[in-house]
Amino acid sequence: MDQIELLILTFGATLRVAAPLILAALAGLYSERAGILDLGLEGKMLVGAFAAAVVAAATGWPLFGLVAAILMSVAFGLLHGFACITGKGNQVVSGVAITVVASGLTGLLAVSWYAAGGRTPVLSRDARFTPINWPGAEALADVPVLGPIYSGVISGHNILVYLALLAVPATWFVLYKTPFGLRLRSVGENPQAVETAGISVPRIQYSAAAISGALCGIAGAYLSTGHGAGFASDMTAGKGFIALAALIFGKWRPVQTMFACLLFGFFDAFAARMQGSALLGEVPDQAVQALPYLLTIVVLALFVGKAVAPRSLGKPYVKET
Amino acid sequence: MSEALQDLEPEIVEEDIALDLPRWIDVLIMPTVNVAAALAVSAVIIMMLGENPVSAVRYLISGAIGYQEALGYTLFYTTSFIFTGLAVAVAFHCGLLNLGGEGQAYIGGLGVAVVCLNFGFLPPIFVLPVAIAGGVLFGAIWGLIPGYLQGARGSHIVITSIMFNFLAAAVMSYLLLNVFADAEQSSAETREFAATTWLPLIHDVAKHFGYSIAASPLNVSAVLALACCFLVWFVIWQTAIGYEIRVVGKDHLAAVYAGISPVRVIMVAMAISGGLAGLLAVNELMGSQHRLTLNFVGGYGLVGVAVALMGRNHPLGICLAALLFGGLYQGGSELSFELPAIPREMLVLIQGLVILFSGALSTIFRPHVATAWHRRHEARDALRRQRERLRAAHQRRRAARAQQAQRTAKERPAPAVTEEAEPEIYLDAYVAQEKARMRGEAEFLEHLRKYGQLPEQPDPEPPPRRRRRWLPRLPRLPRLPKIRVRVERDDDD
Amino acid sequence: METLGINKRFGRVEANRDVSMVVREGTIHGIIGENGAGKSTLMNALYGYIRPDSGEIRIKGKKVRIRSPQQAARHGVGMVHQHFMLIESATVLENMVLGTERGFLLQPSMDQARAQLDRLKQGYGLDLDADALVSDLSVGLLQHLEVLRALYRGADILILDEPTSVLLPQEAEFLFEIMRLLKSQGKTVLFITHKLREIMEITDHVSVMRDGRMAGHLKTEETDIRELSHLMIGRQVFLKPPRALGLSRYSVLDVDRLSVLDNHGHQRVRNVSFPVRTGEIVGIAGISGNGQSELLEAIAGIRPIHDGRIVVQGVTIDKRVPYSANIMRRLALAHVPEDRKRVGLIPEFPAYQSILLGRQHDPEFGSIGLGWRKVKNFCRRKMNAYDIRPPDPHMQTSHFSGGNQQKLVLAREMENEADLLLVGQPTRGVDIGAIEYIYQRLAQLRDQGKGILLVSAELEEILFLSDRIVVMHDGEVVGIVDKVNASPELIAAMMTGHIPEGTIGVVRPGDTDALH
Repeated sequence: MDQIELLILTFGATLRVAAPLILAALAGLYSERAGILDLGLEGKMLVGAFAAAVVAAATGWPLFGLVAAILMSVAFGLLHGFACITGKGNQVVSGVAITVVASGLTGLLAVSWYAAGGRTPVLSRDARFTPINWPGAEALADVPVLGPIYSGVISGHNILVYLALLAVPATWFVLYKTPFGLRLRSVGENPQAVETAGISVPRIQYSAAAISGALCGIAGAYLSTGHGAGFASDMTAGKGFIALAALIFGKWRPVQTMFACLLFGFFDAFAARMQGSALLGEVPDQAVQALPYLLTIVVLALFVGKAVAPRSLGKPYVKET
Repeated sequence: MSEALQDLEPEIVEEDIALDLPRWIDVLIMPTVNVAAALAVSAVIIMMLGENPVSAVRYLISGAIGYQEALGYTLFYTTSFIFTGLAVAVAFHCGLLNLGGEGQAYIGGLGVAVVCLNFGFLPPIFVLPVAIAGGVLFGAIWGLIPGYLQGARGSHIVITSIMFNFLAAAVMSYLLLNVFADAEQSSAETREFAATTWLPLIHDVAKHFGYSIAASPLNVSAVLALACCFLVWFVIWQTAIGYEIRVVGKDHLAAVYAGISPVRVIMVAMAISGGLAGLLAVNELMGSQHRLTLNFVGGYGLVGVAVALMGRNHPLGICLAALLFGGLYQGGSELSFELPAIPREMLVLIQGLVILFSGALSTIFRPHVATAWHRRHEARDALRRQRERLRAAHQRRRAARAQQAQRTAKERPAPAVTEEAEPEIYLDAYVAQEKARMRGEAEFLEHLRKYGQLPEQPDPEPPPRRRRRWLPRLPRLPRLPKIRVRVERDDDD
Repeated sequence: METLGINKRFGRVEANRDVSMVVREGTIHGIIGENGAGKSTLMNALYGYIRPDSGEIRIKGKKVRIRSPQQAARHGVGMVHQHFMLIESATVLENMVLGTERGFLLQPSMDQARAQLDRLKQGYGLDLDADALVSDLSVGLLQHLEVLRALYRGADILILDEPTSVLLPQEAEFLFEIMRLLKSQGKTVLFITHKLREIMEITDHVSVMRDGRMAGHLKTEETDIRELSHLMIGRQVFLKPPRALGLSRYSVLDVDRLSVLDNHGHQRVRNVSFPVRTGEIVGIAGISGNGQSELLEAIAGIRPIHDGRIVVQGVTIDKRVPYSANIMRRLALAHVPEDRKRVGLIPEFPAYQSILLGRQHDPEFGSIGLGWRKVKNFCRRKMNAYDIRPPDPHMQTSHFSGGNQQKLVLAREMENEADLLLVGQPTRGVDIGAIEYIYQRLAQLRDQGKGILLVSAELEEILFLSDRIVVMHDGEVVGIVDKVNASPELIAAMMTGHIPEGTIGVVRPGDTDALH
């Protein structure tokens, strides 16, 4: 029974760990399906997290924080878009620049404004997205097997976790069932063909960059005002890059990408929970911390060769006039 | 395209003409403009923080080069940044953005420490080269693995190299806390290296030769850094493997066609890159700290990206960029001491902005500079041509008039002096007037282009109607061409 | 439809100079010209993909402004591009609706398109599965899709840009049928090609372009191939067929039961065997995409061998041997790649660095450091020999014209003192003057006793140059034909995979002994 309970708790934790990964990976999906490599996910999440924490701390409303996070992150997304679409710059360098700028800017402002070593004030419960307990979760918790699953895995997360999970079918729908999705997919494959079909390629790409920014903003807000209780400098700790690896692992498809994120989340949660337990024995802290990174490398090394990327990914689209 | 037309002229595409600039502009002006943009944005942010950017710059400069010790520190940081900048540049020539300098330097530090802690009893002449080699080797291995994964498995190097930074941090913190932990110290660092493994400090060397310089951690690895600059230049531009690295950086298919194995070349490039990053540990540990400490790399690996991009991946440029960042780092600590509202995190922001403007947005300003340059030249040339033409006409007229005068002088004396002076005045006034117009008037140039010259005898005073047309127009912003990149065209286009 | 004084410059090159023409409604109007004569530029201007610098376009007497493909579609202009403008990972139907979808959901547009597609398919007797992935379709079907898409968008004027260059002769014939059908329904067809025979067969009127200008407008009935070719090229061209030598017994290359995979792991070359002897040109004929490119790349050392072996100069190479282009070069092999501008040069490098590609380890150019001065001299010599303009080794490779870039590669590879020369598409994208020179040079090299393996999509070229012809279909050798027995009809028939009944002089893949 203990084992099962542990597993259920781990699954609950998996969702909480995976939620920002899912959001960030979907953000990357929009961008990369439109042919723009997005190594700026990390940076956009970071500015999102910072903006959310600052605004939530100032107003006491997490929702305002979320809006601020989305705005900031979209701004950075559009900056990346400007460099890649209008400037036709190196997309890899641009993404990295976005990330470094974000890291520097958030660190600078956090230290300068709050003078607390790069942290923003700890948010009170009201200023955060708090877990929502679904009706009857308490009551059903005692029902064997199903009860704990309902109360521990399905119920009891904050709204952003559910938003992340909803974003997956929504993305699938947009991608495969709407004209915009068709255009998005087409731009990533053959922008020339899209242009000759009379559609503005930059417009689609800018839209994708903006959507990507918005999703990253939500992910960032989740980190600082949902999962955590405030911003700490460089708190994303490579999550943006892990999300990219998950995106590649998921072959740039929404549902597979979600499962890839859940896999990453599960290992993370599992290792954290198993630490010091009988199953793994004494494992140094550092090994547990390093696990997601190691896993990312393994996934990239083993699966990337087989994944087929959008054909014109990373190539600036140049049209003669 | 247009093979049939090739007999006319070499094909130069419109974009290239518009963007055809003297080399010195590309090499000197453009990086300056890009960095200036980055610094301008930083200045705006400083103002947003409620500080005066001018005084910030003053503190920065005096902190960086204001006194001898500061200069020593600046050059010490410069040395580190040359190593990491070169590391990024070598990988970049191979088409790879190596963000793993941080981890490679960290693991390089492990290599240095292993040698220094275990072989400290040997004389410096043996142990120093071995320790340096240890740093290079360990760094190279840490760069080699992501290189292999990129080359053979196609795993994106940016992601893997960052993951390797996290791994390096985990490995090193484990080792420092559990294996190398110094029993006497509570902090996570090794015991001090034996003095035989310390690199000579420059001020000690100077003292040896009878000069007195303020003490600073600047050490002989600065010389090593300059040697590396030369070596990198030689390898990249003067050897077959460098050629292969550059070919792989441009096109893998072409490389395979040329009998180059991209996997092998990528691994070589990443090993060189990692090795160079490992040298950062030599400067930092053997030159200054004399022990392996937790997180001694402190973000310097990432500075290399900004340094390399700003220095256009050329050793010379990297030296200059490293000097700038060395100054920023040294001056920055002074600055954050004087103005606590501007903490050291400012430097990360500046790095990011430099990467953004010198790397990702490097093409943004170029057309503007090109337009300005061409406009200036076009106007100057047109003016010169016009002046020559007018002068020639004037001379002709004068000669004709002189002849006339000679002829008429025989008949009656002519009051020719004022008449003769008149065209001179008219010429200068005209030139001045045209000069003023040309500053912003594309239409005038258009006219020149169309008719090749101005009307033979323009009115000294333009008619009022024309004046109305010209004057109310404010000097317009230069019309900037869209940014275009050269287009690969199909054969038949 | 008419155009008046269209001008378009790319830099200093005037791709179109005062191009005017009149296309009558309900006719098939041919536009013919050499590579780079400006046909595609003109068509792109008509289709709104590029914007002419000056000039106007009138449709049905009314002046129209075509600034984008969408505007072109509104005026009833549709285009079938030479390189298909299709999304490979999408279905046929999705490609049809792309750009015409309306509303929030995709489904209604798709349903509408499906109905329309069915009607069009019936109307033109075409068969196309609406839900098939484009990447699974054959080239012929892709072209049908492009035509149907243009019609779906309401095109009255259909521009076909070199549509036959990728088709089998039978497929081309079918396309002509469709064109006639279109004409009978009152549509106007603009047909662009550089093949004179096709012009004579299908068009009503023809406009000839040369050097970016219109060289003449003719009624097809009132002209003949001779007049057209004169207008097209502007002078007589003498192409002297190379003289065939007696066959030598010594083979410089032996391909033995070779199999090669493509990048996706599909077997593209199956069990191919043939020799190349000293002093002969062996041509490989086949519709493009039937394994010729992969075969050439495998022999050049670019693509790994899946099975079988290659014997070069007596050295056997099979899949167990670590194998690269470098090794093959050491075995005195030179390779003019098909995609020269992409693969054979580095556009960002100055010319002298580009010309070193593949020879960077050549001791001639230095040992530890590269002797750039020697490389520059080498480059200058080649530039003079091949009349590359301007002969400036320092100029950036991409700044040379397309034809001169081609010549850079040809110069490097053909003057390589190699015993075996692999040549892919030697005249693709090269002007007529250079073609003459290249043919001459290939014949000379052959006469010097080198073995030459030639891959070309132009059947005429293969027939003209080769001493023996290896015909490939679907990765297999259909048969090997000696020059004396080869006729265009026979080779064309064999390219579809069958040897006509009662043919003599064809060596079938089984009897390899007959080759030696």
